[in-house]
Amino acid sequence: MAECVVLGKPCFLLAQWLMTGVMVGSIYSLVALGLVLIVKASGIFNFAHGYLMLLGSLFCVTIFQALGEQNLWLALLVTALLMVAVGFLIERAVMRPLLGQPLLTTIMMTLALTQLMQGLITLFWGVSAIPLNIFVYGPGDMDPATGAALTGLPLKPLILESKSWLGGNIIIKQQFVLSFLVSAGLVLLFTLFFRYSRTGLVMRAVAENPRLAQAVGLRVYFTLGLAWAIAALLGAAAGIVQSGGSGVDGNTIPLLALRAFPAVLLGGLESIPGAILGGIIIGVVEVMVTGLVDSTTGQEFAPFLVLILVLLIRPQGLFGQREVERI
Amino acid sequence: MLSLSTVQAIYSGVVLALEEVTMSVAPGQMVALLGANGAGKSSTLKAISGLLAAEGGRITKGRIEFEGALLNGSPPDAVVQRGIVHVMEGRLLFRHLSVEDNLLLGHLGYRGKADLKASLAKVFHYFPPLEALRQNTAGFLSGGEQQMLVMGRGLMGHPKLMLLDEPSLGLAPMLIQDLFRIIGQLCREEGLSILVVEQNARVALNTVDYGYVMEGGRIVLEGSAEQLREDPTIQNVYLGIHVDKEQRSYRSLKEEVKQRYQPLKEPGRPP
Repeated sequence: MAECVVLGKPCFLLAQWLMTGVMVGSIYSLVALGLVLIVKASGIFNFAHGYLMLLGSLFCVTIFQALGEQNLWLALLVTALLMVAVGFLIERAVMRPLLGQPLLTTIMMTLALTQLMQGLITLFWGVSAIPLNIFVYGPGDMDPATGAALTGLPLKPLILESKSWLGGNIIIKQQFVLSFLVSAGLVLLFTLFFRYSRTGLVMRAVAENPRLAQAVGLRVYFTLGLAWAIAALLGAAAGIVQSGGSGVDGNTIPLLALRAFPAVLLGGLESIPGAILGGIIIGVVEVMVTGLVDSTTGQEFAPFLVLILVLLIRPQGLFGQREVERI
Repeated sequence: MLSLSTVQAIYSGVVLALEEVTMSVAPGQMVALLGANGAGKSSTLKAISGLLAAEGGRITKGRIEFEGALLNGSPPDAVVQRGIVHVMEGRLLFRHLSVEDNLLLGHLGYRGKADLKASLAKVFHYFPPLEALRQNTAGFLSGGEQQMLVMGRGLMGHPKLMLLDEPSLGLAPMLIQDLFRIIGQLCREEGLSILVVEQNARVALNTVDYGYVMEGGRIVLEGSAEQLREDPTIQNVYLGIHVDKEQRSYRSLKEEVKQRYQPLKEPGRPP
C-alpha cells in the first residue's frame, strides 16, 4: 500500500492534527468571543479576561466540591450567576468611572484588574492546580503509568477508521470533542443573540455610538454592564471547558487567554465571525507546529508568530470593521 | 410645558456655555432658537435633554421644568421617557445598522407601551421614502434621507417635545422647504411641540410660531415669528436684508444687537 506522506509526515497524522487543531481552536474562539464582545461594546481590550476564566473555573470547582461532586448542573448555574455579578461589578466599580478617559487609561485599568484578581485568587485558592472531576471513569479505572485513580474527562480516545485511505487511523482525544461541542454551541448561541435579539441590537448600537444611544433613550450603562457580564460568562465557560481536561491551574488558564489574543487580532478586533475563524486558525497552527516541529513548545510561540505576521501584513485583521461612509 | 428660568451651564467647571437663559415652549407650539455660532443654542438643547453631563457640562443655576417636573440633572434616558426627544446636529445615526434597526432602537429607547407596527406606520406616513429603504444600511443614505431617519427615529419615541438641532444643515434648498413643511405638519397633526435650533433663520421664521435669539450664552431678543421677521436688526444680521443705506460689518451689527438688548445686569463671570 502506497504510503501517503506530506512534509515528511504521514497523512493520517496531518489529518488528525488538523481535526485536533480545529477542536483546540474552538476554545480559542470562545475566549476570543469574550474579548471581542468587550471591544465591540466599549472599545476596551480586556487583558483581565484570562483571570475571569480562571475565576469562573475556580467558582465552579469549589461549588462542585462543596456539593460533594454530585450536582454539576447546579454548580454551573451558581457559577453563572456569580460571574454575571462579577461582570456587572467590574463595569460599575472600575470601568464606568473611566468612561471618556483615554484608551490607554482603560487598558491600564484592565491590567491592574488582572494583577488584582491574580493576587486575590492566590490568596483564596493558593497556587496549586485543582482537579475538576466533572467526568469520572468507572470505579477502579487506573492510570496505567502511575496507578492513581483516573480523574478528569474520560481519556479513552476516539478512533476514526481511516487506515485504508490515509495509511493510519485518526485518533482524537474525547475531551477535545466535548470542548469543541460546548464551545461551538456557545459561540453559535451568542452569535445568534447579537444578530437577532433586541438586546443584541441595543448592544451593537451602544458599541457604535454610546452618546447617541444615550440620546435615543437606551440604557447605556446597563448595556455595558450586561456586556461585561456576558464576557465573564463566556470566559468562565472557556475556563471550565479547559479545566475539565487539565484541572483548574492558575498558571495555564490565563495563558490560554494570552494565546487567544492573536486570534482576536487575526480575525479583526470588532468582528465576531473573525474571532471564531481566528480562534480556529490559531488552534490549527498551534497543533500543526507542535506536530511538524516535533516540539512541545509549539503552542508557546506559534500563536505569537501569527500575531506578529498579522500586525505586519494586515493590522486590521481578516474581518476588521470598515467605516461605513457615503462618498 | 417646557420652561427654562435663568439657566446657567458650565463645561469642565470653567467654560461658561449658558449665562442666563429664560424661555418656554407651550404644548403644540413650534419655537425657533436663532443665533450665531457659539451663541449657546446647542448647549441649551443639551441642558434640556441631559446630554450636557455626557460632555462634561452641568447646570449651575436656574431651573428647567417639563410638565411641572424639574429636569435639572436628569439622565438622558429618563428625559426621553418623560417625552422629550433630542435630535442632535450632524444627523447622528447608527451608521452600521439598517434603517429599520435604527427606527427599532428609537422604539426600544422609549420603553413605553407603544405598538411597534403603528409607530412605524406613522414614521412612514410622514417620511414615505424611508419605507423603501428599510433594509438599507443607514450610513449609506443621502443627507436628506438621513435627516428623515433621525427625525423618524425621534418620532418612534412618542415625544411630546422634539428638540431639533440644525435639521437643514448641508441640505438642498428644496429639501429644506420640504423638511420644514413636514415639521409644521407634525406640529399641527400630532400636537407635537418643537424647539428647533436653526442657522437658516429665513426658513425657520416662516414656519415657527415664536422665536428666541441668543448671543453669548443669553437670550437677547424674543418675539412672535412675525415680529422677528419685521425687526430691522434681525433682518440685517440673520436674514441678510439690508434696510440701511450704509453697509455695515457683521461685527458692528453684532455689537448693535448687544447694545439694543442690553442685559438687565452685568453678567457675572465665574472665577
